[in-house]
Amino acid sequence: MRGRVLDEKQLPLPGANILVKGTTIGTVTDIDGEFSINVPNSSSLLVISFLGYLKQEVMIGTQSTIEVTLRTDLSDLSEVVVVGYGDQRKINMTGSVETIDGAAIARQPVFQASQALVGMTPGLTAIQSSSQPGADNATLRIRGTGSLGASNDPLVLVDGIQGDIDNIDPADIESISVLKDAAAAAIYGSRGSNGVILVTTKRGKEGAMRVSYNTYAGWQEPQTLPSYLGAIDFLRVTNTDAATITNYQQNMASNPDLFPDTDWMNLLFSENGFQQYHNLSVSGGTENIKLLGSISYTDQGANVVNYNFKRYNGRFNSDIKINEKFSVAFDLNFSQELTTEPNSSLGAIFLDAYRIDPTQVAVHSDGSWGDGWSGQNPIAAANDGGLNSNQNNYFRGLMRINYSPIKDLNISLTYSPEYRDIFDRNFNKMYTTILDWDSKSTRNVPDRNSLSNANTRLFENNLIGLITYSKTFKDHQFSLLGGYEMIKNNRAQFGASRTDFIIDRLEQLDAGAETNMRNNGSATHSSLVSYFSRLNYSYKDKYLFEANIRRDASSRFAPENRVSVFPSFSAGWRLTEEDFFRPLDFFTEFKLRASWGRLGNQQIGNDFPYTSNILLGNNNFIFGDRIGTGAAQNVLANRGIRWETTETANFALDAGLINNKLTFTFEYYIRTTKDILLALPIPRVVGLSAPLQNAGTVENRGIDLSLNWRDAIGELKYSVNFNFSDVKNRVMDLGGLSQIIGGNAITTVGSPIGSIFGYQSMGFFQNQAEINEAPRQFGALIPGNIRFVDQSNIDSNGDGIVDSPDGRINPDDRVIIGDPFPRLSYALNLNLEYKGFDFSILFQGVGKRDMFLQGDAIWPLFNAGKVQEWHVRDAWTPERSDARIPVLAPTSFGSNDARASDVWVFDASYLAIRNLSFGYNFPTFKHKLKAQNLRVFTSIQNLANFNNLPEGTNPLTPNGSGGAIFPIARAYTFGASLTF
Amino acid sequence: MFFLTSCNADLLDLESLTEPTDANFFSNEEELDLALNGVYNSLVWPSGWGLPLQVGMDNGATDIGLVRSGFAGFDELGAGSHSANSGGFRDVYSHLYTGIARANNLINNIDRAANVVPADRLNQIKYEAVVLRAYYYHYLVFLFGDVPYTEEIISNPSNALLPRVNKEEVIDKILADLQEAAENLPLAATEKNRIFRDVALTLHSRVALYAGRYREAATSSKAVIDGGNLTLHPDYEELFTPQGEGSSETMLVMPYLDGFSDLPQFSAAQGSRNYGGFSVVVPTQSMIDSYEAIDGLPIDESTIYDPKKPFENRDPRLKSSIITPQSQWGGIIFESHPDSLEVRNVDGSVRGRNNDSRRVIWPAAFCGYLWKKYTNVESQLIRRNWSETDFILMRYSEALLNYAEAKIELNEVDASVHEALNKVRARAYGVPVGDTGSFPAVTSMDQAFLRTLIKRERKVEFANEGLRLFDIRRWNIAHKVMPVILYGRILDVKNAQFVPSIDEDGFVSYAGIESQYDRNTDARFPNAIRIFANPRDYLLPIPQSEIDTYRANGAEITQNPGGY
Repeated sequence: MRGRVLDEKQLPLPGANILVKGTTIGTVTDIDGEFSINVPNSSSLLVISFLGYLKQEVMIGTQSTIEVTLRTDLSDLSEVVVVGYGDQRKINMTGSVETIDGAAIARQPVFQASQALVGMTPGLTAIQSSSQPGADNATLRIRGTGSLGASNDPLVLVDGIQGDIDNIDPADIESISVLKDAAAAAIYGSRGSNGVILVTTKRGKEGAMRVSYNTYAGWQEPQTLPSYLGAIDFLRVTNTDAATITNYQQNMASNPDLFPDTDWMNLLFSENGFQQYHNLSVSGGTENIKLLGSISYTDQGANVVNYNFKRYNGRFNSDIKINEKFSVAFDLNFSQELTTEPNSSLGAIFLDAYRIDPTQVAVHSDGSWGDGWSGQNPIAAANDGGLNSNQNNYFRGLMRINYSPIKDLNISLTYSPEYRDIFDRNFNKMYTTILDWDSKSTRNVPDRNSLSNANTRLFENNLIGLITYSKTFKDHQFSLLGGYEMIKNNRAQFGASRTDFIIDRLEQLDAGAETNMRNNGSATHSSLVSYFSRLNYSYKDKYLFEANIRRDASSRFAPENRVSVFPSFSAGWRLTEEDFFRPLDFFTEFKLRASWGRLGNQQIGNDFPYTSNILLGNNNFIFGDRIGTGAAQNVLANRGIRWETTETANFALDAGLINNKLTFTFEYYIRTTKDILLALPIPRVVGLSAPLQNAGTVENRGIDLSLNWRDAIGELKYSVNFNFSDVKNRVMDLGGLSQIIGGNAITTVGSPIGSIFGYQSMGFFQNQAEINEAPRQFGALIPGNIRFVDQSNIDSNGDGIVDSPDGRINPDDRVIIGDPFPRLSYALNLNLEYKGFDFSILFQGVGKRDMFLQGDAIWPLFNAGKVQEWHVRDAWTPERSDARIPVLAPTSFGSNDARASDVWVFDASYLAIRNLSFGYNFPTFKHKLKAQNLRVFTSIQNLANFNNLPEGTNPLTPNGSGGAIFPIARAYTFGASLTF
Repeated sequence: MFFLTSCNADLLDLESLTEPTDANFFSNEEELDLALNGVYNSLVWPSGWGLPLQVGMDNGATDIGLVRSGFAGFDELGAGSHSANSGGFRDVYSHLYTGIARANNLINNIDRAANVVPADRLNQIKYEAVVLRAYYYHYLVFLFGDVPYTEEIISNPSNALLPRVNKEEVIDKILADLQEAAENLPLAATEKNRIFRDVALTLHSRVALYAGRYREAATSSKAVIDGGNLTLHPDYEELFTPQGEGSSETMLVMPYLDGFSDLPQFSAAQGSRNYGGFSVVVPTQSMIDSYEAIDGLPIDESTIYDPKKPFENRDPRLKSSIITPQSQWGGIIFESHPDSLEVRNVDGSVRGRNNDSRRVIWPAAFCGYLWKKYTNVESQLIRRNWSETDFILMRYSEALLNYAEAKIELNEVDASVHEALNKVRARAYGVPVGDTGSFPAVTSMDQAFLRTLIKRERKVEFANEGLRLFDIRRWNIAHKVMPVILYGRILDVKNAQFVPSIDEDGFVSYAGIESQYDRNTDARFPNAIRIFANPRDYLLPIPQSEIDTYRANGAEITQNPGGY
């Protein structure tokens, strides 16, 4: 029989599910909303469903064609959100949870799922600052940064078990829940203080078996690159005499080995950055057995030679109903990730390519390598300096038994072992440069070649027992959860290395010399045992209440400090259910929520901080010709160490208007992290490193806002999602310390964590007289150098208050000169569908952020480095006294111009077009290809970035960068998905 | 659930899989040995480029050398841009107390093994640790002045808010410890690099001399000389090369061996840029001018010194320690003149672009000279930046000069003083001490003359070995020799006519004749203009972080005077 599925406006609904009830016979509607299906008999029932619409069952009878109109599920009453250890109806939520649909992730051609979270939801900051294959994951922060000494990464759970969001195939993701406040995350207790991200993978659904093939491929290019002067212009700005320049110019063509004009950028970014992705999946099932199998292959190149990432991924999720009381889920996930990169560091490749001037040779006319920066030739290093490879093998199984002895009561037991095996091999290969073209003298870089191998094995056992009971008495709904969880981690590592490989194509340890063999090995373990409980209560879906409690015990703390309890409470009031709210019936939803809770952080980077451990090795000495192993305690133990705790209060309003075409959520929170683990300095006479101590308080206050609009104009369906968030970070207490300075960052009471710390400028020295009169500064100064302010830092009258400058500039004259936290984050996501075409665009931006750059990332002529075109336009000259940057003069660390100062702090606010994609669903392929669905699409990732930075600088560059950065790439991809 | 609860304790009571805890350590000879090695480990004190920190002291903050960058703390001190917040000084302070804490831990726990380790073995282990502790304390007092002093293990930070102890009291304890150690240690090293009696005694003489306790200094250095265990290495230049390792002159080293720790990049930091070095650590013109002429007189008094041939007829230690222009190095003729754009091979043929000229590469040797001491020619030739050569921390020559100086200060000049001085001077010329016609032997009985001479002698004998900083402080001449502009080589040697004046403290003055010398004004050498706050910079500031730490815990530790 044939049929058509329409929406309320009588427009066709493509992609709706058609299933003959009680069988595996099923199909999906095509682009015109049409389907055909073989029906066993006239008494069969057809079940027609589509996300966001109410399900319908149709008795077939004798009809041979039917037309079904699905009604929109306006109130989304049935919409269910994944929460900790379960799920909840969205309307009953009282905590702060954002959800992201898998489709929004799959739309972007990214290989690390964290990247797809950029701009997706307010309060979750995802920053991708590199496009290095395999290392291009985004840093995730939920509602600011709370900790100084421990991790700030959110807890990520994949199907309920701790995991890594970047270790899965993004296409396997069904949905993501982001638990932002303490009420939502408290059930995770000591692991939840940085927020929680719950990833749910796709599972088989009841219906016909479907085979899908998805693929895309594309190319990349750097989004922004600095543009440098060529050889002749470079010689001009470095005050070379005219005769030399003329001579250089005349010889450039005939003798490029001695008179080169090297374009280092062009040589470095020489590759097209090809990338491809293939995924084959099979899914479907009956009421009793549902299966999904998915395998995929990822291959990601880069614009720089020898950088590559590959992932082979397999996932099998199954759900088996044994009888009415017992059911089992059995999941397997395995993957292999292979990351390769040149052995040389980002600094030795990217930073040097940004530094070395065009009059140095990269490659000679005979193909031999130039000497570059005293032997560091980044082009040679990338091509010929050996490779690092990392192989990450991963296996996870999950088995869950569900037992439901009576209605409303469910008992489940989940066991999930996880195994990871990481093999690193780093070969530091020697390349030969021509030190001097005249004498043809050569040098080998590095001094000696070397190979190191390292193997790390991790095993994690996870056991979860859950009991849930829910009951409804008239208008009262109760639901109660109780649980036990045990996590045990084991980690072991060993490594070995040798140097001096005579035959350097034999990259195995045995081929190296035995004189400098080294090896190392270590192991550690930790465990966490927890009990937890949750109570939900609602009255008439109007008054909502939830309480969570978790009791954690961690092996990382001394027995007397081992146990801690983390509670949370939240309540909601749905005003739309009140009689007095009737007049405002254009609101389909109006809910007020409030929550409070306490969370912990046990990610303290050390499994045994409370015992005095004697470190063996690394403290050795030489007697005769033997190495005498040394032993020493290096870190003072702190038996009293405890968890960091975070308390969050959250206030929110959810509203839906005009049949929920417009939805709106506003949240305000105060997140206070106390007992922050700080290595509070101890008197050095102790002779040991300071232990972590629980001290310090950091507060994050912020707002999250989201607005969604979904509607159609004729056949044009569209949706707009806008979100905005801002968080203000402030250090409240540092355990008695006034400040912690680390390089060019300072953490001090009253300011954000890691504020930019440096010299305040007062323009540039305009002439020698000003230099002579000014307080003594750094190095031999010339007009056009930056002039620093001599801050008040001495106490002239002994009253304990600094009140006067000391007449010289030294590190005590540094002040806070910027805040590198991204503030005023926003994103706008627009989706359009018209007939078979679909279009989406994602704008994302940051309204306020300061960025300090230094070294080869920004300073002209730094350490004999080169000059960007904008430098010439914006540098000080006697005529341009109010220039943006100082005089173009050789500089190096230590001089005024080459120190952290406000001259080098930039406004890094931006608006980016993060993704643009365009697709088309073919209407009639089912007859020719037997395919039910064929979609082709194209997409551009990182299309554009609008900002106020000097040209060639990307605002996503990490604060403080000196140029050792793998630039953000723009990716053009084309793909197709085919379903049979 | 009961089952689960009983399992939980087993699950949670975990212990480190790789590290023992101090609860059961120090229980046998092997563990004592491990702990002692850990105490020795603090002798390894790497700074910029992996070079010993002592090299950074000499070149960053004294008049004999210059560093371009990378020796945080001491290069700031030389340039006068340091403050109490300078991270380098905090690291110095911290490094020394780390060594002291390890020694204290071992010394206080050693009796745990008394039942299973023979008494004499126990004794040797203990006194080696005592000498090392004294060694670390001696750096603390002579760098920072009064410092907190403890011989205990501090396991609770609230017991660590110790006040500064008067420098003289700390010196008393150091000297007493060394005296006791000398009585208990073996006369000769039981294996290479292990501490023996003469190390304790020589350190005793050094500390006493620095403290102006000349009688004690004379006594302990005399004991070393009379002990007869040590002799001067016959070839001064060779002593600082791989061939000089294990010499009977050497007493204490910072050892290096392939496969052990990271090796210092002497050839990279000090070496010629024509061999891929970076010439970051270099000697100054005033160092060059401090070497006597072969008549035994300083160059401003000598009649045989000719500024047109400034490197001829000079104390051989000049060429042993320093690579001078037009001298051979590896296969080339080193030339640092800015206008020498090409470098020549030893046979006179052009080798190519001269990377030792600052016109070719701006960071080329700042003053026009390179340190030869510890710049291993073989390392540079096979293009390996690292060096396996042990860095000498103490050698017999020091005992001899300590003795001579102490006796001069006591005004007890006699033949033994001349013998000690002349042994060192004769060795510089590679001749026996009795061959007084072949080297400028000292015969003067005049205290003032000898005071000047010993200052000169120590400056050249120990150049680039990390003793100069302490010498200019104890002689109270730092405020004179430090605040200067560092000049480079004579540019126009053919027409050179001026000789700098050298005073009784060995201070070389270029007043009025500056134009004869190269002045590199490149701003990338902030260390080339020296600033010295007198008398403040005779001591390092107590690290500000330390003052803050005490204050945060309700205690007080004083800062050195002078204002920071």
